[in-house]
Amino acid sequence: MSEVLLQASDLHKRFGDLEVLKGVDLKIHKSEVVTLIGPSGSGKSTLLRCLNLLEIPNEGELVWNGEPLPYNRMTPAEICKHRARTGMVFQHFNLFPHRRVIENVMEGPLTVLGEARGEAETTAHQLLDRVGLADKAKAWPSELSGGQQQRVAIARALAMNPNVLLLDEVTSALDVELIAGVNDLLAELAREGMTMVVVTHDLSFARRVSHRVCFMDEGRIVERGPKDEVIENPQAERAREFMAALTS
Amino acid sequence: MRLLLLICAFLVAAPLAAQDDLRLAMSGAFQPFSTTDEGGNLVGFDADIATVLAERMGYRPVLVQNDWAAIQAGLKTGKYEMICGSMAITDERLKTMHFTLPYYVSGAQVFARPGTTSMQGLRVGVSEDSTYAKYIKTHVAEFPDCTITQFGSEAEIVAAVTTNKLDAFVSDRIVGGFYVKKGGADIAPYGPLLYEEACGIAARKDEPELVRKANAALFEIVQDGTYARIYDKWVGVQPDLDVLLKSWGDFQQHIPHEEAKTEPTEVSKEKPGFADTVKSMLPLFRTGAILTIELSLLTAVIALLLGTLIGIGSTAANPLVARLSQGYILVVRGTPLLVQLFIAYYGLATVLNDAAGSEVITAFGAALIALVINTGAYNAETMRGGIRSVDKGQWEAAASLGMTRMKTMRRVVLPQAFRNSVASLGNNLVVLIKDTSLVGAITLIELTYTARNVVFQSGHPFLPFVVAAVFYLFIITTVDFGMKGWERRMMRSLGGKRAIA
Repeated sequence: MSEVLLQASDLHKRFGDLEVLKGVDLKIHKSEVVTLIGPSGSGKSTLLRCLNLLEIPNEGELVWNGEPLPYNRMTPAEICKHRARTGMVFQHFNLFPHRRVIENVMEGPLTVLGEARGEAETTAHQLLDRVGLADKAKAWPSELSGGQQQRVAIARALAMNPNVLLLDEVTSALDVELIAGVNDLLAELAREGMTMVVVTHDLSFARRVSHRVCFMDEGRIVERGPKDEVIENPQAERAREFMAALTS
Repeated sequence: MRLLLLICAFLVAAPLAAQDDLRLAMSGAFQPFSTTDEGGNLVGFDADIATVLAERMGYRPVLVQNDWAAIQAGLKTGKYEMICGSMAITDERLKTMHFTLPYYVSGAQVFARPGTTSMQGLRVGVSEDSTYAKYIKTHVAEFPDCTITQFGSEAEIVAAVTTNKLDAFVSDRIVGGFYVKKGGADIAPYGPLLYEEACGIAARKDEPELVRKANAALFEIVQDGTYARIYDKWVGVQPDLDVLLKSWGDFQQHIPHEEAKTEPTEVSKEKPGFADTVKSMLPLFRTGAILTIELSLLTAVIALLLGTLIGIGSTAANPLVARLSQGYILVVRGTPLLVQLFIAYYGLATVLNDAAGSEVITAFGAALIALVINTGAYNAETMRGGIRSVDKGQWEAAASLGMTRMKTMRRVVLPQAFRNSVASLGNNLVVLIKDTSLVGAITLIELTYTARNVVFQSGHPFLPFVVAAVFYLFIITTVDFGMKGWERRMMRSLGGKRAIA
């Protein structure tokens, strides 16, 4: 297997008295698609947000490309730098409503990477073309459907040329007929070798794109392995119940 | 028909029923003649004279405190029957009011710094609407190159002297002396009395009977020694009755006679036409309006910047910055603008000017500071709400791109916060424009103050205020129109359906 891009060891995260992550170990290899599934409140989203330091963990180790990430001692600028190389897409898109579609995609390259406007605009047009929204460059986000907005959000994340894409239930808020467009796009990215960590409830999508699946319950990864084993034939009891409920 | 008669009877009877009370007005800001005690009651020479006279006339005295600038308007509009407020008898005032015999004689006195040898170039204060102000206006040669500033009361003049905003002032010799002693100002009478003046009790032209009764009562209390006792109590010396009686002789011709009993309409006949008055006053209104607009616009721009900064500060992650910002909002919103104006003018401006050794903060500067600080706090509170109402997902999306907190605030959150707040900010601006009407309290003659001056000069009790209202309405409607346009521009990115056409 290829080398490890991001590794978490014994990761803990508490919100007040509530311990959401109770010691998580996770390795993500380059060009690998890892899917996190599990019931609501099991800590999937929190784990994802700890990986790009949107949440700062309380305990445990993070290693990026062989270099430790000393999150407790990092300056705000260093944290920003780590977030810039890890793209994230949210359930509710979170596009900037006061900026046109093209400007949403250009925002990161312009303000964070310091790219020239012309360069950023060319890249943004290419990315919009790629997600199938070349004709919507001048539109406002509020004029787009949910599926279109989510594809803009993916383009916005890709514009930063990230090493890994973190996807947090990106199709959960979409109408059924709009899901396929987003899923097709993600599957294509996976085929091209984009490293991805995916939180989803969509088992067919997990089956389609992921290499490995982790099942989380109550702040721990209770089962992990190749997608066929975990989805089709889970060993842990909680995992069996969950899969049964989802596929019934 | 009978019903109509009944209504008429009521209309006539209502004022008669109130005749048991005799309401007498005074400013309450003219020690030792009229002031207020700890309980807020009017006391002083004028107050005692008014009380005793009303009782001798067979009425129950009711003392009314009224702003000096509006005291004649109050009489005309029937808020009280008489003014017993150290009003000097002048030919001009005799045209619109009746006066009793003089009830004391004093004179106008210049007060200046000890050692003053010439009036050349001094900063001179005077009470607005006073005979002293009129004297200065008509005797310019006696005040060469002087800067004349009008104040609302003698107390404010002495405060301006002690805070080094004035070198000299003109006032009644008794009143001025009293305030100088009380305020500890380093200032003394300069030169001889400018002129003597006699003060009388004023009544409407249609009430000569009231004046006759008051004259009889005045004669009575002078004779039985009550007058001398009251005079001694407040002024500190026995009155010179010879001077008073001489003034009565001079005043004889003005005593209203039986045949002079006039119709109520006579007053309005003597008034100059309103159109003419307004026309002649329009340049004044224009000057006032320009000051109002200048002050409003300048404040609006600076207060928007300040409010935005403080608004950001109040949501800052740094607890010290957040606390300081929130404390600022709390303190400023928790105190009245008028108080802030006085602190800025008599406190801050004085300290800074003394430190600099010259007048770096003018009255306009002090007003600007107070208005900016005040409006800034309201804008900050508005912006705080606007920032808070931006969805948390916006912060996360920007953070996930690697944007810093500052950059996120500037490029993502603030634009949306402005969009959320633009209506409230516009509202703050409208409130600000109306609040500028308070700066008259620190000698700036803006729209409202202009209207008050015109009321005094024209004798129209309220129409100049209507003119001022029209000016305000025009300014505010214009501003409102502009704000609505801005709001539409801001909203364009939200209501996308129109923009896509």
